[in-house]
Amino acid sequence: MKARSGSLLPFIFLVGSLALSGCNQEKARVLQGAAVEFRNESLAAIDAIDTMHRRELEAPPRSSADIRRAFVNQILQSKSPIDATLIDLAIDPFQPPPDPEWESFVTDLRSQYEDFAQIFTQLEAGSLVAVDDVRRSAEYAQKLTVQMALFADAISRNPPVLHRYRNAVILELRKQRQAYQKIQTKLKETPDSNNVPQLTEQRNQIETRVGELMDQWQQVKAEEQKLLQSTLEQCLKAAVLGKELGQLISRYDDLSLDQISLAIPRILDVASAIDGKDFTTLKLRAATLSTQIQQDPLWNQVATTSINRINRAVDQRTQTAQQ
Amino acid sequence: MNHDTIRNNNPESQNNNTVFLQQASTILDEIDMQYTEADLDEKRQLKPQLDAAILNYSQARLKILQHQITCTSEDITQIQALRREVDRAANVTSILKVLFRFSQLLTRLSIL
Repeated sequence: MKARSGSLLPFIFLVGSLALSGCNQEKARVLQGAAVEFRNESLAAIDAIDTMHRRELEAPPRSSADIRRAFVNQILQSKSPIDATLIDLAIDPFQPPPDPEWESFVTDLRSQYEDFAQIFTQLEAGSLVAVDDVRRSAEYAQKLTVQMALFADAISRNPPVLHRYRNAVILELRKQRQAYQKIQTKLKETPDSNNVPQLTEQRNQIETRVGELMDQWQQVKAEEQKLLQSTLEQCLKAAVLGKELGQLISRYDDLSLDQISLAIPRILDVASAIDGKDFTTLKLRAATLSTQIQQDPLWNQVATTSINRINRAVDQRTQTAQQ
Repeated sequence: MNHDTIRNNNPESQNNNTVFLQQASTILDEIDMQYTEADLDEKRQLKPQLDAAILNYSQARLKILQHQITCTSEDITQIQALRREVDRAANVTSILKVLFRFSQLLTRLSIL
């Protein structure tokens, strides 16, 4: 009997381990939903950052007629040899240069969040190894979250500027003001001239156009604000989701399946409640999240690593400048 | 260590980055407007340097986004000096000079 029960022990241990492992796998599966949501929100944030970057350097659209007129005018007045470069330049002088560093930044960023979610996708294949990977994913989640929180903070401090849209308005305002002041001078110097009705008409046209330009400027500013708020909202959603998820994963072994199952919907609700319409709250939330992450012992190490890297770069730059 | 080197992610260092970026943005805008007004021959001369400046600005913005740059007050002094220079630039040669120095300053920030 003793021998029998002794021989049962490894069996009981094996069954117990499998049950425990099965339970862990269930817990990990429950986490998968939140991990996939974190990936989705992060990818949406990366798309928003990419759009913001592209829009900052794009030129306002021109009609085909305007492009043709400018091309004809510029090419006929030029003195440079006519070649492919000159023709392309005359057609589209505002084509932004290719930016491989930005492209690789965005590609690399996307793959980091895809890789994170992949850890959880492996569970579908029933891999027991993946359960251990889920435990180890806590640090990965923290790194990705700190990254999103830092993006949100940096974007709120350095809002997007639609440079070429603004420049088009400024340039035209400068021209209109110059023309207006010239007319004013003429009217003052020769009040009895036959040109007075014509000059007055021109002056009225300028005033109307300047009013339109004010509207155009306000539209550009509104567009910039919209871009800022949507990007910030998306980064914050991802960062908040990542922070909650990271905390849950770090307590993975201590929490029961039920506790994790209850926590997930709450996490998703917190993230989806973030609304980009109220910019002041959004900005405050980005700053608070950044501070919280730096003060929280769980996150502190990851955040400090990022900040130390910056300080090393500044030291190196300062030393180079002093040499 | 230079006392001006900011040791962490505090508001002062972030403000330096913001001021630097605003100055750089104003310089780029001013040059871009001069480029817009230039004739095709001048555009041809300016375009390669303007593209380089746009790329350097984009890279500096990227590093600030990643919190990999902390601008010092020396960086701000230099960008402010360039800002005054761009206001005085009246021809293609002087704009090219400003563009070159602008790119140099941003490259020095971005590569380290």
